[in-house]
Amino acid sequence: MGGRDFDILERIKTEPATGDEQRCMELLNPADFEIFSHQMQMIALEANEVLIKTAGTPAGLAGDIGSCVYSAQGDPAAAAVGIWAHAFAGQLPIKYILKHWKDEPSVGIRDGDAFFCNEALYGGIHPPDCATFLPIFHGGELIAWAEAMAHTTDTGAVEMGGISLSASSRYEEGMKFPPIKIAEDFLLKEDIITLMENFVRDPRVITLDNKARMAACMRIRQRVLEVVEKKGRDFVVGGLRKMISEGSKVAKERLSRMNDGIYRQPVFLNGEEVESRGGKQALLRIMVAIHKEGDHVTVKFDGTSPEQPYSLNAYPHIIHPYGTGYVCCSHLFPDLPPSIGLMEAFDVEIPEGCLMNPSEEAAVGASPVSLFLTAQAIFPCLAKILFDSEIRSNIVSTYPYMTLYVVWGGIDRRGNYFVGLGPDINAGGFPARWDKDGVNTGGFFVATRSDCEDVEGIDVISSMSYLFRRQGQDNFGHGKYRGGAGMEFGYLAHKLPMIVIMSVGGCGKFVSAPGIFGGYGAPPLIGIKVEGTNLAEMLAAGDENVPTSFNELLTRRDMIEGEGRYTIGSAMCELGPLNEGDVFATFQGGGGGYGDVLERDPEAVLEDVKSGMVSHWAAGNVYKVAYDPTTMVIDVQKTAEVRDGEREERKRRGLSYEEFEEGWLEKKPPPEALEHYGSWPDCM
Amino acid sequence: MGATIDIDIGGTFTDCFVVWRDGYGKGKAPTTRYNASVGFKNAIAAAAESFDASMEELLADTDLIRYSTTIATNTLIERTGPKLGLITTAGFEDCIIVGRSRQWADGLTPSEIRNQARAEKPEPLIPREMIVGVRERVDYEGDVVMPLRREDVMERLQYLVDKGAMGFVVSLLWSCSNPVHEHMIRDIILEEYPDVYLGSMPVLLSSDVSRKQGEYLRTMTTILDAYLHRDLAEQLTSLNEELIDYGYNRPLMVIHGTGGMSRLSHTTAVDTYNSGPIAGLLGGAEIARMYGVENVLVTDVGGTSFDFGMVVEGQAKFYDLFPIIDRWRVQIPLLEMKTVGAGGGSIARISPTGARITVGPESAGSMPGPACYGLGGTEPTVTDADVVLGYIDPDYYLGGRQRISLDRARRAVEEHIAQPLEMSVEEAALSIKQVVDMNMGNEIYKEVVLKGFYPEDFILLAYGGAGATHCCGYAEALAVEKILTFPYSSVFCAFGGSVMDIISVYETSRPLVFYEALIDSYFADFEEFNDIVEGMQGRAIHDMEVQGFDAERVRFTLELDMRYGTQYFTEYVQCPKLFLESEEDSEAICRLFTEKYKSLYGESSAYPEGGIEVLALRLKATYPIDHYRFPTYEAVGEDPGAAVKGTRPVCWEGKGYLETEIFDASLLRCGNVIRGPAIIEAVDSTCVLPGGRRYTVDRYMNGLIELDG
Repeated sequence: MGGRDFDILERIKTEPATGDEQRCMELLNPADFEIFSHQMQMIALEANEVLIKTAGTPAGLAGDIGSCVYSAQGDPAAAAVGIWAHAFAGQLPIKYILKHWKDEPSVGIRDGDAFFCNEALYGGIHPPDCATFLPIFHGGELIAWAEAMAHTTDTGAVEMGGISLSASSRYEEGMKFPPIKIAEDFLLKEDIITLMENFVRDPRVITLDNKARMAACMRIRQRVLEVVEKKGRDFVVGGLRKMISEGSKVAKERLSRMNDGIYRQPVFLNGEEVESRGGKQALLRIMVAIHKEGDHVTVKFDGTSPEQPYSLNAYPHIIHPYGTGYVCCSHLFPDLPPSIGLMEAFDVEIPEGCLMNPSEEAAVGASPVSLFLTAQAIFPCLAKILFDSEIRSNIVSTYPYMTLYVVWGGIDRRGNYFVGLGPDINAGGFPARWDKDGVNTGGFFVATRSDCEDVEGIDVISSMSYLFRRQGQDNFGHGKYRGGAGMEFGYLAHKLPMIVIMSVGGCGKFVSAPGIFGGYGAPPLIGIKVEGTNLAEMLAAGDENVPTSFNELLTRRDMIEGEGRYTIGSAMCELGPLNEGDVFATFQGGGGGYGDVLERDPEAVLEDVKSGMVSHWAAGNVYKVAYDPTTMVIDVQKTAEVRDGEREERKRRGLSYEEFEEGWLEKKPPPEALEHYGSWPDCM
Repeated sequence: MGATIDIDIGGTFTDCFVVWRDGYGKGKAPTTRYNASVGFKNAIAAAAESFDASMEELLADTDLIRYSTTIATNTLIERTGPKLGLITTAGFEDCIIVGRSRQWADGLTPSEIRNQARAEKPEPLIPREMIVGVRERVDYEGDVVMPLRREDVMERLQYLVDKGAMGFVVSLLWSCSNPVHEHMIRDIILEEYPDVYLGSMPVLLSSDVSRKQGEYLRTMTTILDAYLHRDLAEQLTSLNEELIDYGYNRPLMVIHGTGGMSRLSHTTAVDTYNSGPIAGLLGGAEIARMYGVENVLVTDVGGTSFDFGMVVEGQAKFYDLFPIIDRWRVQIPLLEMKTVGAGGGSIARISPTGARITVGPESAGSMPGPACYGLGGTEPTVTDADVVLGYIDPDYYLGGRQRISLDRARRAVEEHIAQPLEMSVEEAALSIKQVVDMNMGNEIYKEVVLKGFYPEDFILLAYGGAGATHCCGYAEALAVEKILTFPYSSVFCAFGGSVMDIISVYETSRPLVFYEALIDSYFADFEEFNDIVEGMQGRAIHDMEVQGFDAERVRFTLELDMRYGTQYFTEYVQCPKLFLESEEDSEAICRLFTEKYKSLYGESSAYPEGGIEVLALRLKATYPIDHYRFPTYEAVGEDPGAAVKGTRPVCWEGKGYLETEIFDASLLRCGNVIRGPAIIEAVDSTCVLPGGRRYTVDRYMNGLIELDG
């Protein structure tokens, strides 16, 4: 029997090793095991290449993809990504298939079958993250699974792009498939493909993606069976299990050497989505408390805002691959082969009914926003855990949690209906480190393969032109080491038949990346939409006032305006047309800062001023550097005086905790902003 | 006919392959970084010795010198290029700094990319303060949207000159569609700062370097050309002058990574990147022709890296269209040679729980080198394992020129691997060999199957210092039955240069809808297509003629980069015709694309129902030249007894130490057959032949290794 099964959603940990797996593990000596691990890694990489090269979604370029070899019980053993979650999130749908479809006469699991799932209630992430799972049989026995996931840009929600801003329940989020058989005899079922095409605006993307996922899975199957052919079934079964077990063993051993404690970090976002439905600006909170004891970590979410009537909700099972999975693979254990074993030490506890553990009816299309925010909250905790550890060098401040996701669609220059995804999502700043600045425009932080593409390529493939595109100024957290800058960009509708655009995020009025250890946070993201401009005339006339940066667009209103209409506000932009000559400009968040700004080397500040990364205003008022803006020569003595003065000033401004708390509580936001927050201040 | 000399200047050695007096000779000398011509001459002199002649005698009778160099790599590593200024479109000045955001990961291995906390973008070759934007816009169709103003250019130019620019790169948005503004800027620079002012400082336009879309890639390609130009020009000019002094006054041909060569005047610096290894790949294609086989895998095992590439249907035809040079992604079609961090110097370690033995990618390099070198290295390497196992004779390493220590090798393997894992030193050494061999094999396997082939359908060519030592090991991972080793293995890349033709490659970006699924219609704007091809062909003919080559003999091939529907990535197909005449031609091209796509990704992966587009066209112009043909020899009998040097204990997998026959490769005769286990030693390489393999000296005097029985 099918139907929802919430027990399955609890099975994010590795299944206990069977006696057979235990026996088979013993077959691999250290050389065999290294060779086998490397081979599985090559197989995952090969499948990932196939997926990237054949996918129809621009997310292939962004690295919003993953491929993985799973054990027969449905645990990820060797992955190549993309986004780590995209390799690991097949775990629960596979376990569902094993539990419910294996012995179900009307479904079954047979050699040649493949299954599809994009439904969060059945172990998926959010509707656009579509996955294919293919069982690998040998001699009639199921010995492993292949998985491939790619973010398909449109899955038929009320708004294009998969992440629907305005969906208030699951029923407005388009196509949502629980695990369903998509292929038999190694052929995609045309009826299912047609069904999916029928849901979406541009069927080419979903069909190409389905073919790509299937091709990637087939590649994994073929290669795994070749290894079975050479080394035997037991060797492969034992090897896959050993990859998970060894990962777990080493990760736990390392964790046990780190300091125990409870590490807390609240993070906030403003729920723009509320406003988009005619509601009010709302403040939301995610509270992360990491309880670390010995080789075990529990991530608790008490004090997190309640379930939202909009699509920011995320289910607990997704936190594992998205939050802890990403942190483990990219920051805690980047030297260990990636498998679910690395996450074995982590548990998640979330109160029911909150934003991160919502009801079945909840909309979850924008859940990555909350998941990114969760990952963001983990980093300051991690910094404290790692500070006195053997990998202090891996301390980072925070990543900008909502890399801005811009979607456009309409009719392209060749006359096709299309839905595009702005590759600028892949140009956020990375956080400051304990010993150096963050990387400028480093990418979309959870997507390790992200690429923001050339504007010429975007112009041809996605029919969008740019007015400017550059690294932003002061859009990161300042500090002893500053965060990396995010990219600022202005789209210009040029020679387009028809296009509509929207952007998704949740940080228009709140710090987009908090700082750590005294470093400042990165500023909120601002967006500018200008309609009915005279830019075409200005360009044709060679007018030197044509804006070439976000600041120029912001400050040259009187020169540009003509018949134009400026809308300046949050970077979140509701779905609306972009007519010929209209501009939409915004920027990706920068990384959070690390340490006190007054400790930053004044020479480094001036270098940033020269390169345009830091404004003269910030150099003088934030970093307190005294210099001649014409010659750019630092007045060393005066800088020391100004900085000493600022330190004295800080002492003067200092308050006792009681005074601080009293003043802080007076700053309680107005009731309308707290409508969805939960009880003030602790959401309890 | 006079001699031809092929030189490959590598990072450590300069190799030379000379064809003269109906035979060939080889020479090898250390590369002299301070002045490459010293190593160059030493290598030629060493090769001349094999003809009992002096370098002067050889050069005086030389018709042609071909040359590949790593100067581009060195200049990038050492950052010794000139101070350049970049002029680009205002609003897009950060393009090369942003580097498509992925710049921090470009050029790194997947495991290096994993550690995101330590991500770092490389220092830009042109610092931000040397980048200026001019107000202008051309759109994707080549229409001028915003005119360029002379005063604006002058102002920016003056700024760069004041900042000390020693050369200019001009790269504007969509100059690949219409370079009018780039031409205007060049004219202004030349008018305002004539040669007398700027000397020989270059002004490079991106539209001259590439006509493909993608401003980051196009700009970086142009910057690298400008950045590397000075060092390359200095090296080649100095060489040219010395060669003239020695009586050689013919042209110096420079080998290109695109698979051909040109005169110096038609070589951009980026063309020379990786030219040595790519010459080796072309050498592989020649071997395929000699043996009448279609598919060969070339493998080059060195001290720190393992290079490999594929020849299919007799041709080196796989291009990396967006190769990464050092840390920079560029836009030239380089023939594909993959590199992984595995070689004799790769360090073996055990994982924290002792569950696995890893080998590489860290390398002991040549300094301190393997533990057995006794130069300070203490961790065990692949070479140390080879010494422990008896594959390498410590008294005959590099023909006895370098003394190495068996004791040090044993100690390193014992302390770091054997003792912690409670295994014998021999078991540990065998494990190191197995891991490095199998991992090299798996790396090759992935690349071969990604291109739609199976390694078992290939013959494997093994060269480089450790190629013959490990080839039987990685051949096993690939299920390859036949392996070839060469007496000129240590100068194989230089040999590859000797078989190259004059080749130039031209590319143009142009989106063309080849199949419109909704109306079931094929591309019919033949004039547009043919104009593009004609334009590239015209440039090719002009370039050939000014180099003195007869345009009538030039052969052309056309490749198209194609995709389905909304795909970002393309696959290329060889176009059966240069010029299109009918919709049937377009249909045939679509069919070819779909066939190739299916062969790569599976029967059901194709999706013509989503429409088919061409995004770029690539024309390859080839001027064939005559090459040396190796003589063939008559077999004199199977018995290799005359070449036996003696025996020594050698450790073999599953057998332990066996007293094993050692052969002197130089004494082997055509037709001799050696059955494994055996060791065949040459001055510059050691072939390890395990049981179950047979080594035959074939009619070209190469060593053919096959499965025995």
